[in-house]
Amino acid sequence: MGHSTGQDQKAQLGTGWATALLLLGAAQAVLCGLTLNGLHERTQRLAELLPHHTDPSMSAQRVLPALLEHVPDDARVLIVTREPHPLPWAFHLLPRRWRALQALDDALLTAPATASLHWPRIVSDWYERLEREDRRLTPERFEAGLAWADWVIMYGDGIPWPAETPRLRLVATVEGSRLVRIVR
Amino acid sequence: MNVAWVALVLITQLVAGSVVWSWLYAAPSSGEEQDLGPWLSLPGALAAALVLGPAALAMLMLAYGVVGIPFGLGPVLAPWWVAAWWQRRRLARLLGTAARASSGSDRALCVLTLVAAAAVASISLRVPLHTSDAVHVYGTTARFFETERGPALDAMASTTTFGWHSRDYPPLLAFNEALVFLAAGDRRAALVKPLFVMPWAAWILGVWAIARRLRPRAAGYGVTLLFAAVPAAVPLAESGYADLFLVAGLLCLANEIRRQLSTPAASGDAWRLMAWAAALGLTKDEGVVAAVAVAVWLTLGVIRRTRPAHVLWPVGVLLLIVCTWPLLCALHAVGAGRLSSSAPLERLAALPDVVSHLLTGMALPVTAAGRLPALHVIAALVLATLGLGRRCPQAVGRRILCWEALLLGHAALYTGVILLNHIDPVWQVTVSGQRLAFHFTPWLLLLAVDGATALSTTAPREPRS
Repeated sequence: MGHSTGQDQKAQLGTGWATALLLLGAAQAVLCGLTLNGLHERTQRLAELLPHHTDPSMSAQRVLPALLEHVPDDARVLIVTREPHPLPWAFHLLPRRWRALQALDDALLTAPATASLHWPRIVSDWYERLEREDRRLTPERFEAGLAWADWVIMYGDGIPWPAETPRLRLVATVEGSRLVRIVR
Repeated sequence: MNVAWVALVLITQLVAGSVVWSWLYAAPSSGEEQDLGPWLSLPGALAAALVLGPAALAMLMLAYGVVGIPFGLGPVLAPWWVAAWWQRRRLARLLGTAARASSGSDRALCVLTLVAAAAVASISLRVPLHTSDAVHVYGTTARFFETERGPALDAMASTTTFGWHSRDYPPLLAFNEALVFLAAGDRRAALVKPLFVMPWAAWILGVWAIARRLRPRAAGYGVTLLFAAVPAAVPLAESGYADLFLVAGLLCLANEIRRQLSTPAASGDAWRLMAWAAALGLTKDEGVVAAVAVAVWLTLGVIRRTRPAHVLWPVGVLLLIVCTWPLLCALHAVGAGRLSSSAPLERLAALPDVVSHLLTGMALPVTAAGRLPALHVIAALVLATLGLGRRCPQAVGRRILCWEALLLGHAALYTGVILLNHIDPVWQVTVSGQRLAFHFTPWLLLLAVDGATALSTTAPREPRS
């Protein structure tokens, strides 16, 4: 009887180990996809942040810390950008005082909805809000911003300077983004 | 030097969590013995400390903000070291008991989790923080807290927000990020990364703390699944760290409720529930709902038919903690500041899409591997375990029902919060993507663990009395 019980226990143990191995194998197979996805995402994000990478959608956030190394904490900074996405300026710029003017492209309103069917609504809300808070780029606001600021950060080409531009000194350029000191 | 200060902040989180854990769970001086359930093991204790620690620091900073004491590393960290010194004997006794009550696999899991967390943290240090909710939702608020050395309500109210910055969001994570920023100085964007790994560790340990007591071997398989996803945790721990912290807190709360329902009533039970609910209420909108539900539950005396007079103080303190931040925001006219995208009716019309995305996210590991229809996987698991639950002893059947109720309740809560949010719900749930797995995997794992228990149980169902 005792011998039989011992054999039963061994058989149970063997079944237990087999089940464990089977489950572990299944777990690895099931999670393989998730793991590879994670690695892929990681690689992508690393690539986006490398200095030589020129993905414009990541550029604004990538270059800002490098540009701000030149700007003292008590400075007033004007940001002029064509970047269509809302960016966390305060995260990088505080404790400096800052204003941001955003040039928006009307074509975005009619662009095909990529992330969501509600995308046009999000963009139109964003436009309205920028207009309401005087943050949409116009020549008048640009001129007023230059009169207030000590430093200017420019993202993107083709932004026209106002007629009455103070004396400027280019301090740094990173990935096409420019840091300019206003000389008074 | 900055690295040392950041390490001190992270260690103090653990110290503060351990002190609060000992206040809540150490045996009273009367010598009354209590069954502390899963809390009396090293993984349970570590999970508790990882959730209670940040909550304790946040509550202290909230109190400082109300009375006007400036934030600083000394005023926020020192009280917890003093408290740990004051409570050292009680803490050592409780930790010793937890160590003795822990099995070899408990200790191995703790070591494995800490090693994996250290590995994930060191990999993540290579890329500074630059996007995700850690910047947009919590990080920007944390920068205001850091630069103003206080709740910075007037500064936030007078600053126009850009993008997804949610100024009135529950402040626990922002307070803890601000503390790391104060320690890290100019290297904040890089040195904050290890902070995001700690909720991930709490999440794994929380699942283990429950599952280990249900069925040790099956729990091992379940946690192996979680560890197999370590590489995926590198980016997801950052983008979904708020979700991980919330779910770790929910696991701890569920664990405590289960403990209270299965052991005789003890003094301090209401305070224990209050502590977990307060941590949740300061974390996310979903946590506020959970905290209010606990307050209502306690007030109604549902748990153990406690008389309302016994829960008056814990409920009062809970409401005070959860309501202080929204009241401060309202007083200083700090609105959400987020982008809005759709009208209420449009959001309601998005319900089927949200549920469909939710189900896909819920079964993400399966869909990522084989692209199987997620709905079928979830439905099969729920129906199979329901069927098993009817054929096994009542205790296991009740647990299965409990996990299914928690899974459905959590999904309903998540759906409700997404629909009520300012942001387009379908867009939000799409962007949340892989993070959804953090929310639902624990309940599915616990369901699978008890499903395995039901499968292996041959005892007939106990007759109803």
